[in-house]
Amino acid sequence: MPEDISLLPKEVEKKREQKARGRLLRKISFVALGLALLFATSVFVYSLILKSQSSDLEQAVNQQKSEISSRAEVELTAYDLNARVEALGKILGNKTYFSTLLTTVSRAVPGGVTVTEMTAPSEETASVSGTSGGYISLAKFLLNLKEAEVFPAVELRSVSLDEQTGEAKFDLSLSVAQGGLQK
Amino acid sequence: MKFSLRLPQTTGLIFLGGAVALALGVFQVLSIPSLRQEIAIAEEDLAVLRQKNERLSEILSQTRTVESNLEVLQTALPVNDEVPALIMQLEKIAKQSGMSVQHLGFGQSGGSTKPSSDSDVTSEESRGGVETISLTVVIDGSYPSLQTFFRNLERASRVINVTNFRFSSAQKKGGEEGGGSGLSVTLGAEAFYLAEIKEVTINTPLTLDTTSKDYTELVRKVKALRVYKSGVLE
Repeated sequence: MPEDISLLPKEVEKKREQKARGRLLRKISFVALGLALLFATSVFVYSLILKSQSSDLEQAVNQQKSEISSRAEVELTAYDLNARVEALGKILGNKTYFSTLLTTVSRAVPGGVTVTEMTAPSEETASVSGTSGGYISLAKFLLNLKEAEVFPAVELRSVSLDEQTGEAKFDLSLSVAQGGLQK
Repeated sequence: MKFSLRLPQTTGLIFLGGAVALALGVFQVLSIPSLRQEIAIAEEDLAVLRQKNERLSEILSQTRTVESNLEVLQTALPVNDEVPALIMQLEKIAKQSGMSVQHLGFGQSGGSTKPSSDSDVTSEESRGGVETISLTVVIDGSYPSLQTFFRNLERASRVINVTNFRFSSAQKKGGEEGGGSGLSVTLGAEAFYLAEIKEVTINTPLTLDTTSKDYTELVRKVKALRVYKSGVLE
């Protein structure tokens, strides 16, 4: 079988190949350039949009700031009022009304019982000392205190009878309900 | 085998142009996150400022009410310690309640302020911008008078918070008038003051809402307190 014999010289063939490769490379480079330009342009346009957005916002912020500055006096009044509202809200919310304690104890005192000493070291506890005409009136006093919602726990710490006067000296402690002395 | 890629000049230039465009694009991409962050911050600032401006407009439309409310709140929580007015208030309340003041002790708070009376300094405390004056009050009177004293103190315009108290039966001294009808009372209390705001940063949000229920309720509560005006004691 006869072989295909190329009549072109090898150098010419090589040049053809090089030209074809050059054309391909040029095409690729054009595509790459196009893509790079497209990428760069879109990124540039996007950043321009962002910059303009930022500048618009800055302008709006400055406008608001200048409007606020022109109302500086009202602004200070508003902040002062706000600070006082917040502080007083907290102070009044945590305020202890010991009059409630005194009133509750005084309502619970039956005839024959005299309170001679009372200590309330905090809004949570109180201790009451006094004298009673007898054990019955003291028991009544304790029952009355236990009925009051303000005192979840009433504890009689000591009681002693004075034989000369016939009076019972007592000392009791009261637990005050959480928030019981607040309004 | 030796491999070399020799580009024709035009192709080389095109590649170079592409590389430059790509580099510029990448450079721009790198600046985008910071730009977006700037925008986000500016948007937040703008929202705060707009809200603040709206609130200021509201306040401006009711300046008189706001100023009168501020005056009322400044009575309850004054701009400085106002110890003389405090003494006056305590004395008037005691007198009205049938008690007599035996001793007043003050703990002046705040490093910059000096005690404005020759009273005892017992402690000092400061919290959340509000300065606290610690008080020790010793009064004499009966149990019903003490109840009235506490009620009047709790309703007084200059807010005083009683923190503890103690009373015991006391013998009435011969010839002594008024007050000493049974009990000697010692109570610990706190009075407060808040320095006036003289400067604010523009970006600080303004949370005051003069239409809110909390605000109106608080103003109503403070207005209901009884004012003991400073002046010469009767």
